[in-house]
Amino acid sequence: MSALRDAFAELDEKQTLLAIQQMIDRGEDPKEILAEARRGLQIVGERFEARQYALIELEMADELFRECVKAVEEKTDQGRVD
Amino acid sequence: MPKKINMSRERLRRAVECETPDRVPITIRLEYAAARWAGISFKDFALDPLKASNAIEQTYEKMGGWDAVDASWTLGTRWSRLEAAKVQFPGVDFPEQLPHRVVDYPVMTPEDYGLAVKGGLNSLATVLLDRLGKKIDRSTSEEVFISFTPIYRHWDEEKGVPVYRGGMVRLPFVQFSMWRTWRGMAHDLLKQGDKVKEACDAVLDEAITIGEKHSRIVGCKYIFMPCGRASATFLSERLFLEYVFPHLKKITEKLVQDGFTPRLHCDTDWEPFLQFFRELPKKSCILELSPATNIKRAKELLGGHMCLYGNVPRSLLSAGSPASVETYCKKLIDNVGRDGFILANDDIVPYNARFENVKMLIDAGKKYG
Repeated sequence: MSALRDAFAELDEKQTLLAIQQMIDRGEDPKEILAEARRGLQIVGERFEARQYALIELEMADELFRECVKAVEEKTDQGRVD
Repeated sequence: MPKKINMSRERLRRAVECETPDRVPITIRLEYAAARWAGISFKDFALDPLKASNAIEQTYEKMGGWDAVDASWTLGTRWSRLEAAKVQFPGVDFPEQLPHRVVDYPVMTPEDYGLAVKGGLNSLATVLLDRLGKKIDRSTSEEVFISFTPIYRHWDEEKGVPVYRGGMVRLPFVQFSMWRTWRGMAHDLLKQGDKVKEACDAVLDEAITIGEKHSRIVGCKYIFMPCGRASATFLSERLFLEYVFPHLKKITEKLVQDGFTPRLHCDTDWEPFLQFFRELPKKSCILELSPATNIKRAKELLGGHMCLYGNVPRSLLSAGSPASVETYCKKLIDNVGRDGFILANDDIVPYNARFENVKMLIDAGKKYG
């Protein structure tokens, strides 16, 4: 599952969404997929604290996480992931 | 009088070249506080360049003068006529007692980068101005600067006080982030970073040409470069090096080559990026720092390479006492040194600054500088 976490931490939208698609194709649990994205988000936060990232990267991470939720909801036909 | 004129210019020249003048030059970026002290309305200060200049001149005389004035009389005209931004003015959009406000609004769309690549900066700005209901062709903006020239001449030739701002060059990344807002720019970096970069590259030369043209019209060699949105507060080093620094380097090199002095106005925290400033032209630029950047550290890294400027805090000028301002200025000069340094307020003197505090900044500069 680290492909998703790593792509998210790098704020690479294309690779992040690709990793989500691959996990869906493998039939993985949508909640686990989002948990992995959240681990990527956590790394973004750690990099912010370490000053490797700054405020705009936090904005980018916010938008990317919303896209992850949207992708999982749409592609797994789950409706809302609570 | 002529001796004083020459000394102010000479002080600034020596400071920019990282030498030690007879004393540290002092500049004040004064806006609405001057209106308060002169008893004119904020609306008049914002929208009537001559009244604004007169208000600044009254303060200049009452405080015993300083070495260079910022061209704040251009303020409202520039924001109302040339900037593609929603701007609200005192006495027009809200009561008199507060300065103008720039509303965070995404006037530019993600698709507009293509317009910048195809048509350039002025062309895109004209489209955006039109979107805001301002029917102005930005390519004829020199008319606005021509109207300012009598005021520049008054200060520079009649009074002999150097004016510290002619034109302005915004880094393309900074300009687009203003038009798109931060949230919009974050979206664009995520979705189409290549397009952002392409547009930044495409408008670079035009941005320089516009700033130089305006400076030549008003006869002022200082070019203002607002860089705050590109600081380490907002961008990681990777994004700074990818989207900002190559342009910062090219702009400063071209301006210096053409005889101008770039004023790198660097609000917020720049300390992590200061190391890169050694690649900018030597002894030719002014680096304006806010208290968010450790100016003593900046001196250690850039002493002998770049003139530093700053940084008496806004809070000290509005809520401090003359004694606290004096102590701050003395310590600041002792820390930064007298070579390659201009003593100034941080950013803009707040509209509610106390007269005696700003006067003390000037007096302390004359006493300890």
